[in-house]
Amino acid sequence: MFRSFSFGVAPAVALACVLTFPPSPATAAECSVPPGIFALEPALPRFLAALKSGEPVIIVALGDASTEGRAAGGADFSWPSQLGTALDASFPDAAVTIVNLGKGRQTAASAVARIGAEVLPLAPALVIWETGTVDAVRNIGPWRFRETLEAGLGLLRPAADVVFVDMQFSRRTHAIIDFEPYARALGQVADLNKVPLFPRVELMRHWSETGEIDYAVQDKAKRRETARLLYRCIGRTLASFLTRSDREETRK
Amino acid sequence: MTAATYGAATRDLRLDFFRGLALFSIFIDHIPNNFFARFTIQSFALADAAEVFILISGYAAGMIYGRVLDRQPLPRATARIFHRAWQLYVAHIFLFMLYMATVAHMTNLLDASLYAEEFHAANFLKEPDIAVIMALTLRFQPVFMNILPLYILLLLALPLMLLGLRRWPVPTLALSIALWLAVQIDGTVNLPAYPGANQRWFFNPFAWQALFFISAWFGWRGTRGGSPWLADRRLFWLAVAVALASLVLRVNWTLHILYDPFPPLFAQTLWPLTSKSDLSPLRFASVLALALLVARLVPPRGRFLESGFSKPFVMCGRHSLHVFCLGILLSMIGHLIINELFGGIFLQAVVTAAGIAIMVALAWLMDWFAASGTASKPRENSGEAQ
Repeated sequence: MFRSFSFGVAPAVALACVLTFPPSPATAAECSVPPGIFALEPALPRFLAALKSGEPVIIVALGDASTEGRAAGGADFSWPSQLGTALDASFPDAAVTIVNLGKGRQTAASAVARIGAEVLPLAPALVIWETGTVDAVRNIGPWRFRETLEAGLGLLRPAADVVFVDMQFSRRTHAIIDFEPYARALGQVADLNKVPLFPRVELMRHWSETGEIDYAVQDKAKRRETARLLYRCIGRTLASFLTRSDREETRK
Repeated sequence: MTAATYGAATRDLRLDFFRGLALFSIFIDHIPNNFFARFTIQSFALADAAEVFILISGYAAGMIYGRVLDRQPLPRATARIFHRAWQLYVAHIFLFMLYMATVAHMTNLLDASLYAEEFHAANFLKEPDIAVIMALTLRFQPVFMNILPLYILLLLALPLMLLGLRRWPVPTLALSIALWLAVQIDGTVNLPAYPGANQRWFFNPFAWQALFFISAWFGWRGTRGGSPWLADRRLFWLAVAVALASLVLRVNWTLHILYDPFPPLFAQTLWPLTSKSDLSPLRFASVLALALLVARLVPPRGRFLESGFSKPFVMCGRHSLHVFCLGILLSMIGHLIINELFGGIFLQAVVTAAGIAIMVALAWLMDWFAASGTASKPRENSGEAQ
C-alpha cells in the first residue's frame, strides 16, 4: 500500500539535527543559483499571501523516489522536508505543514489517482508535483503523459496553487532513457496553464558543472551524504523560488 | 532492384536524397538538447524525420515489390519481402545487443548513484530471461529502437496489402484509413510492449500503417504511369497551404519556447493534437503535403540531386539500413561525450559534424565495397527500402 508521510516540520527538523547534520545550516557557497533562471516563471501571490497570513498552510509534495527521499535515508532528509525548514527560517511566523506523498516508481497517472482521496482532503494551499522521471523510464508516451498532467491540473487547480518540478539531472542515464519528450511535454503543459515550473534538472546540472555536487559517488555512506546535500539545496532553492515575488516586489 | 537492375538513369534520386536527409535528422534529433535539432525537419513542419522515413520506405517498397509482384507469383514475392524483413530483424537484434551492453555497463554506475531507485524500471538486467524474449518478439523497444520493429511489422503485412492494393485499391485503402481513424478515436488500440502492464508500442502500428500503405500504393501506382489526379492544381495549392500553415505554427512555437512572452498560436488547441505515437492528423497532413510538394517541385533527377552537395545525402539514403543503425549508435555516443564534457554549442557542433561525417564515410565504404568486391553481381537488396 501507499506509504505517505505526514508530519509537522518542527519535529522533523529537530530530529534531523539530533540525528545527523551539524546544527549549522549549509554554507553560503552551497546551492548557488544561476542568475535569471526563474525569470520567466509565474509567481505565486496567493500562496505567498497565505504564508504571510499566519494561518496554517499545508503544502503537499507529489512525486517519486527523489521526493520520498530514499537516497538520503528517509523522508526527514527529503527535499520537501528541507523546503519546510527553509520556509520556517524565512517566515518564522508562518505555520507550514508539509505532507510528503512521494513514492518510489510513482508515475504521473498513479499520482493523479491519489489526488481525490489523499491530496484534496488535506486542503493544501500549494501542491508541488515532481514528475516525469518514471514516465520517461517506462516510456509511457509523452502525449499520454501530457494528458495525465492536464487531468491532474484539472483536479488540483480549483483547490490549490500548483508548482511542477522536473526530472533529476544525470549525465549518463540520458543515453538509455529518453527524457527530452517528457521534459518538453511538462514544459508545454506548465507553459499553457501558467503553472510555475521549478527547473530542477537545470539547477542540478549547474551544481554538477560548478563542482558543488558530484552525483557519481560509489561509497554508500558518502552517497547518502550527497543525497542529503542535494535535497537540502533543492529544498532551499525551491523555498526561494516559491517566495521570490516577495523579494522582487521592491525591484519592480 | 539496385540502380543497376532498373537502370541508374531511372533511379529516383529524390527517394535517396530525402531518406538521407531523414537519417541525418534522426541522428541529430536523437542527441537530447542538441542545438542543431532546431534546424532539422521537425523545425519546419509538424511532422519529423520519422514520418519522412516511413513515407519514403512505403513508397519505395510499393514501387520495388509492386514490380516484383508484376513478374513473379505471390509466394516468391512474399519470400523476398520477408527476406528483407529478416534483414531488418537481424539489424534490430544487433542494435539491441549494443544497447544491452551499454545498459549492463551503466547498471553498476546507476546502482551506485542517487538515481538507483528512480531508474530501477530501466534495470532490465534483473530479469534477462524475460527481457531477451521480449526483445526477440519485438515487444521490448528501448529508447530510439522503436522504428525498426514498426518497419518489420509493416513489411510482414506488405504482401497481403500489396495484393489488396492491386486488386481492390479502394476497399484496401479504406480499411487502412479506418484502422488509423480507430486509433485517433481510441488511443488504446495498440500492441502491447514491455516492460510494464500498460506499455504499448511507441509507434502505434495501427496508426502508422496508414502512412506506409498509402505511400506504398503511390509507389506502386508510380510504376504504372502515376495517378493523374495528383496533378490537380487545387490539390497542389492545398498542399502549399498545409505546408505553410505547419511551417508558421512550428516556427511560432519554437520562437515561443526560445522567448516565452512571444505568444504561441493555437497552442492550447493544437499541442494536444500533435501525438507522434498515434500519428495525429496534423502530422499526417503535414508529411503528405510535403511529399506532394517535393513530388511536384523537385524533378527525380537533375542538377541539384546530382550535385556534389546532394551526394552525401543520396549515398546515405541508398544504404539506409546500415546508416540508420550507425546513426542510432552515434547519437548515443555523441550524447555521452557532450554530457561528460558539459559541452556547449561548440562541442555539439563538433559531435554533430563528426557523426554525419562517419555516417557518410560508412555509405561511401559500402559503395566502394559493392563496386569493387561484387561488381559483377550487385547485391539484390542494396537499393531497397530501409
